[in-house]
Amino acid sequence: MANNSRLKRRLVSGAISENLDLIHGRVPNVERPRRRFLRLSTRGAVWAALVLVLTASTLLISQINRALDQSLAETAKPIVLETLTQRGSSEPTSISLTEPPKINRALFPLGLERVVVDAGHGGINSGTSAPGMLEKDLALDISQRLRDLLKARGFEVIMTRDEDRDVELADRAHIANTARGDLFISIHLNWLGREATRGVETYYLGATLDPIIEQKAIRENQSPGYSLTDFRSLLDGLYRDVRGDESRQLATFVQRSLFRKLSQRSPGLRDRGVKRAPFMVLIGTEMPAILAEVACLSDDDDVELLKQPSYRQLIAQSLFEGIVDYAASLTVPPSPPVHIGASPADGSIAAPSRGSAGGG
Amino acid sequence: MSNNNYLQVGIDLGTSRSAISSSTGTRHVVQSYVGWPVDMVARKVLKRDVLIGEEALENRPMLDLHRPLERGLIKEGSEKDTQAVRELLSHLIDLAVADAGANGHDPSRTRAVVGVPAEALRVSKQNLRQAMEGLVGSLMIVSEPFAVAYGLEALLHTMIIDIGAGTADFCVMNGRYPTEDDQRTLTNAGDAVDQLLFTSVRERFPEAAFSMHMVRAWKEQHAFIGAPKQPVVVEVPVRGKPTEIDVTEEMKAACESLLPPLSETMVDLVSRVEPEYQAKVRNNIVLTGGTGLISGLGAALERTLAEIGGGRVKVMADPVFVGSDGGLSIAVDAPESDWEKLGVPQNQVLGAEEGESKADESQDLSSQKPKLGKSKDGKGDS
Ligand SMILES: Nc1ncnc2c1ncn2[C@@H]1O[C@H](COP(=O)(O)OP(=O)(O)OP(=O)(O)O)[C@@H](O)[C@H]1O
Ligand SMILES: [Mg+2]
Ligand SMILES: [Zn+2]
Repeated sequence: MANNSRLKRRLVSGAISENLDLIHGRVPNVERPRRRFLRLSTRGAVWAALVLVLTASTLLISQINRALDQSLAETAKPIVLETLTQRGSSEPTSISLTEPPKINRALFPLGLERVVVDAGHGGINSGTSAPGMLEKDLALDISQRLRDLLKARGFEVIMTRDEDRDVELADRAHIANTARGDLFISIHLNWLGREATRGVETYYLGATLDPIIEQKAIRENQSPGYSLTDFRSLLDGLYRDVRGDESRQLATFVQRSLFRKLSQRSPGLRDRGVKRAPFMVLIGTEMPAILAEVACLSDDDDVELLKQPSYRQLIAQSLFEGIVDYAASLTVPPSPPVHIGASPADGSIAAPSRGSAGGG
Repeated sequence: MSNNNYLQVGIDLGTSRSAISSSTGTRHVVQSYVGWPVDMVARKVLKRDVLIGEEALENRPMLDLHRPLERGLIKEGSEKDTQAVRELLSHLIDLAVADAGANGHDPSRTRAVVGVPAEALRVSKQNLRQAMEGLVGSLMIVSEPFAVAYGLEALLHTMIIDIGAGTADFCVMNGRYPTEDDQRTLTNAGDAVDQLLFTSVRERFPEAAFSMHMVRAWKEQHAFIGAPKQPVVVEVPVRGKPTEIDVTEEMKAACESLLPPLSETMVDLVSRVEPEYQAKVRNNIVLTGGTGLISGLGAALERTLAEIGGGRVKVMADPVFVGSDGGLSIAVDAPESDWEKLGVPQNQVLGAEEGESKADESQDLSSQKPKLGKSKDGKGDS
């Protein structure tokens, strides 16, 4: 009996901490406040170490730039890695119980700190739907999971919405811009019609000649908050923007990660690729921005999978890894292009042994 | 452990029925219907601004009637349904408060545990917290089958299968608070049976006139799986004339449609249990919820278990308060200090809203608490 009451106490306290997680916007079973505190206090040490690495790598990079010598870049790798493993051993592993600890974003000094996560639709604007499921809810659920993954890895995350409400597309961009986000990812669910093969696809901003994509853009461009004039002048500036390239690269990394991971759980999934489309939510943002269609609500198999929290978590994890891959690619000086489909060994400097460039 | 100054309640918010059990020892159940008089006349006749439960059903023609919960959760995208859930909760709590004899009871002195489907999305739980603002002082949301397990003290190496109207909820108890991996929610439940029965009877007797409510009543009286004990004969008007029709086959098919998904999920969850405990779990399965009363369902699940080594399914004959009683037990057992951390805002004003500058709040959206009464802000309405 005494045993039973201890068990009850444990169960009740589990229920309570799940509720506190809900109230404070954390993901359950990932980390508890005490641990987080520890992490914060080690963060200072990380930064101190980083200054050293940074000085060293700045030197290295200038050398690389001068000589454009790949072998020098190779010598840079061990330095970064060493610091990494040291960090990895002293820091409590707080996330991803299923996978080995990966690179801390603090080691991407040139790259990305602040990620804006945009859950599509919301409030009266439900997006697409399947019986018992609305796009806006799923998008928010996956966004929150992604946020928690990113935060646990030390990224700063800005959510354009964290509850069920309608935020105009222009406001989403405004939120991202005022927060000076380094990257913008908008999460949506697709509707392709009954006959179509299901798959994942990732968009970046651009003109399209594909009438189907255009239809989709019209659907996604509801509650714009832009006037037509705004829109035109935005569009004018846009296609010349260098941001386009970065967005395309980001889209490539994310799409590859999505397809690689999800197709394992979801045989028959199609890689619908990286595409361009004039999505308004991407237009006003001043940072690399993409829109990912992570699953398909017109497909029964996808709908069944989406009911499982573990699948939604897998989607978040895939997006997360795509972002980390992209971040890693940023630490390489600009000239070497992204090695799409290359083997992990010759991939980017800061993303070693992760198979980040494996699938495709 | 608990403080007697507080009224503690467990609530099972169901798609078809909602129940409340209170620390003063009383229990209530209402049909999960909420209706508002459609016009002035209706309001005068009914002398009420809102009707709940049976009363709402009976006066259906005069009401804008809502069954606000879908799969046990607030239906999304409808202001009316959110409001209806609030009315429903408010009604249940009023009943409990009235029992406590506390006229002018201070809502902040009520602590509630509410059960929701096992796989409820986080946003749905956030909506529920919002709907409870001003109705209770503190709120704990738990998965419905967990509340059931707790109430039955089926805490270790057990599986709860709670089949209601909107959802079938599964939960394996293995000594820790169940995580996503320990739980499943299916939408194969009572409503799905009603749908199937309705369409198949309609197909075979196109001239018969009947409603979904009638179909549900037939089901609640005659539902069965396996061999029929006697033919299922019901009376319906055919071109105005009361006529008896035999719906045995349709009844059987509709009820048995639940078996494949239920069996599959049950076996899958068992297979995920640590091998040494699987036999224990198989022999400690509890079947509850209204749809669990389908005659022969427990036995059919046991036949499935026989294929994987055998097991026992215990059917709860009186499932109405199992969930709310469990919620109450959790409420009573939760430590005082923790209840304080689970407070909900008290200043909600129904229907009050005003425009706000979204840009200003954008900075800390990630840590923002849900705002009061404005989740669907008026702007951009179409
Ligand atoms: N004797 C019976 N035989 C078969 N079905 C029944 C019987 N009694 C009630 N039901 C069905 O059980 C369902 C209601 O069960 P319950 O009260 O557990 O559901 P709920 O809690 O409201 O729904 P949910 O848990 O899905 O939100 C209804 O579909 C009802 O028709
Ligand atoms: Mg129920
Ligand atoms: Zn969308």
